[in-house]
Amino acid sequence: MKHTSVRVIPFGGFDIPGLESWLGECSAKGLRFTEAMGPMAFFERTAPHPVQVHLEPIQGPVEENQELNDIYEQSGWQYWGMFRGSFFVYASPDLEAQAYTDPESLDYALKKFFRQKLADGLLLLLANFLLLGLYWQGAPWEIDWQWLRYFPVESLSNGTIIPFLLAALGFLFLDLSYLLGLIHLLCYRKAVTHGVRPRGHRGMGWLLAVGVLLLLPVCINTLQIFSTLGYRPYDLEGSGFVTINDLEGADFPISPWRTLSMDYISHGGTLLKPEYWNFRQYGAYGQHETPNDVPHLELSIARYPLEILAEMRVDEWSRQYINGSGDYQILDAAYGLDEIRYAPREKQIHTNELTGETHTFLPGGIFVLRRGSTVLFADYYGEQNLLEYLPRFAATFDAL
Amino acid sequence: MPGRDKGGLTEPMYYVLMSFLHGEMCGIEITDFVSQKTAGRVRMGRGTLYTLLAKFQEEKLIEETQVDGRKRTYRITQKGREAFREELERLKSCVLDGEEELM
Repeated sequence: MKHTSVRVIPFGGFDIPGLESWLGECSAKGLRFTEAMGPMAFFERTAPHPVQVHLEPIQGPVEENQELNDIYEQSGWQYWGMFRGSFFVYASPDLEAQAYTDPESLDYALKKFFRQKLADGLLLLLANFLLLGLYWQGAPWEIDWQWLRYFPVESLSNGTIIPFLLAALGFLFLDLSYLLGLIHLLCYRKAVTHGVRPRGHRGMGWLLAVGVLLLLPVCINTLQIFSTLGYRPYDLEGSGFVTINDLEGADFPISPWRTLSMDYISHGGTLLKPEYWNFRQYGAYGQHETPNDVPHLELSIARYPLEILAEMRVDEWSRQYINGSGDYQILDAAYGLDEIRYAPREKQIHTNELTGETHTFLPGGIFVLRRGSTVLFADYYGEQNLLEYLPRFAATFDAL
Repeated sequence: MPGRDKGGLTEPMYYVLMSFLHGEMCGIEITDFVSQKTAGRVRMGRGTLYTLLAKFQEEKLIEETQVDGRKRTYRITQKGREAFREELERLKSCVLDGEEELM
């Protein structure tokens, strides 16, 4: 049975002398290289073998070159695998074996390899622009810092700030690793033409490892956004959500417009954006009315990865006064809820000073409820006493 | 008219190009040829051979004729022959110059 071992590659991806000596050291410890993916190298556990390792820059299609393997094998080299699509890895038990006996050909191979990697660097640059561009709204110069200061949970869970920061930091490490790799390659080429064997630069591989670690969640998040995983709406029927008819009665007419009276639950969430549910329902309104003149209910629910974030979010909601809502009252926990906050809204009558016309604004109230790490915000406009329906709102949590 | 654009040929380059004068060759046949021809004096590293084949193809001194499973076969082009002839002339004049000075 083969035993696989994984190691973080401590040298930069283009640090040929460093990688060759490291893979040789690993073999002497009984770790035979099989493949490299990202910042990780995979090894097969064997008996310790001191070997001379050679990395052959791939000059054609990135696939195993059988003829080249035969040519190498003819002189005692054994093919071990491919290193990140950049090198073929060969090993020889002859510690003095040389794959290149002509400095000019090695110089040519390195020159070609350098150009190839320079072109690949442009693709990396393009990836920088695409990924950072996708989350541009989360850039520090786009953020409302005042809002972030007072509403950090709301701001940071908007799905752009954290991805942008992770992507920016990740690319910083990745680009630096790539750039230093190209510089090391140039230095190696220079050393080869001067007949000197340079030493590797241990530790540079960690730049790539950190970069990949930071970028990985952003990449998963992006895939979720562009797949059906990021947004997963479902039907209102059977959802268990509290509706305007639960509050106003089964006969209450609702707006025929789907945007105002949703027959579905808007639901989504990705790795870097907490799972959310949004729902609203408005009553049907007449020709001389606006949607705000009729009873309506808006629900916004979010499930945070940590309970403490949910607690903070409850505090954030409780600092917001919406359309004349009163102070939030903290009620005793009940119906399986951990926190209940309620802000009643009084009926308001505004008189236009010029025309003398009056306009009545509906009363209602706001619920901010929390169960565990899930926070429900409900904003109701209508004549009903919202507190009477608290059990129904609490039941909505069961359906999530 | 020079057959090769830049500089003279190194010894491995010279012998690899020479090997194609016998006809179509694959990688292993080339190393065997060089080894026999120079009685092991010229050591042909495998990386060197791989790179030279790619380089000669790029400079159109040789061309691939067929791919048979694991084996790729190449042949010399007119430009390659000219490059070899040119190098041969250069080496001959080097030898002559040296001999003249010795006498």
